[in-house]
Amino acid sequence: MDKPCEKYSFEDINRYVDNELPQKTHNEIAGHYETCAPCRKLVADIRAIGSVFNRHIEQQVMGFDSDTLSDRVKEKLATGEKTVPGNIFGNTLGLFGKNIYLKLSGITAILIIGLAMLNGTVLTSLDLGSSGPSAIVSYVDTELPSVMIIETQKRKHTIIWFSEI
Amino acid sequence: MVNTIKTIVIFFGIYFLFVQSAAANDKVLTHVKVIHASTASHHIDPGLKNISSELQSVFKYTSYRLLKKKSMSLGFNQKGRVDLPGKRTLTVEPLNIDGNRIRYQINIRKNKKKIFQTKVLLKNNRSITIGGPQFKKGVLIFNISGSVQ
Repeated sequence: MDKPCEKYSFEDINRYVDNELPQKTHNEIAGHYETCAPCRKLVADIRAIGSVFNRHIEQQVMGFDSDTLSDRVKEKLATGEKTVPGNIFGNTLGLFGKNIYLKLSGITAILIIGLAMLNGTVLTSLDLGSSGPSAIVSYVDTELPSVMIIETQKRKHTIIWFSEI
Repeated sequence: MVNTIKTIVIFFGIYFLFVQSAAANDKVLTHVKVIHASTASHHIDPGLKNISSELQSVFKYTSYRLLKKKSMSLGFNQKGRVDLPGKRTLTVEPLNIDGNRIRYQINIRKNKKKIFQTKVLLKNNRSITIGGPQFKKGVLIFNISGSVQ
């Protein structure tokens, strides 16, 4: 292994290769490294590394297909997070994801189930009408001669009919 | 911080909705329609079309006239009274809730004497019809509906 140059450091040579030194220092090193074997080798190595690096960058840039960029961006946006401006629920119900409709559906379901629990049955406030008679007669007390209990066919409407005669 | 406020607002909203719902179950809106049914004509009052179609499937009457209509917001064990033609009175009293039905005590008096008493379990938002007393060449029909408030 060659003995390193005692006049200029690696950093000086590196900056020389990159043309970052003042003109006077640059000219001094240019005159020096022609006669200094370690510096000449160091300059050659730095330039070789630089050329390899630049070639790699060029390959990456050349391999970049600008036509597919917009497609990739659109795909990313489509699969990425959906944000809804003015979403008052924010991340409050993370359980339901970030879709506002899912959140609203979830809240509605919770409300319906909660109300049903309070009312004792799911159908209390959603009376569908046709299941069972409209009224169940549990007790009748009368001295009248006749009483009939009738249920209509169509809507199962309960009728109590009595005669006073 | 914003999310915390949102959470508090939502849960308080749900809480008050439930409390309001629970507190609102202590009244029963009861509607009573007093109807005169006869065969004298073919007239049906506009407000009686639904009930008359049910009654016509069972009875021969062709005329249904609304004589009286009364709406009462009754608490449980609170009696609502409706004066009827022919010195009769109808008393309706919601007793309690049984599932999705309202238990009613219904009494009819004539000349202050009880002539008919019944207990029914009326489906919420539905109605029952009680009828039969003779009146002006026809009969009296009482349609009673109830809905929990």
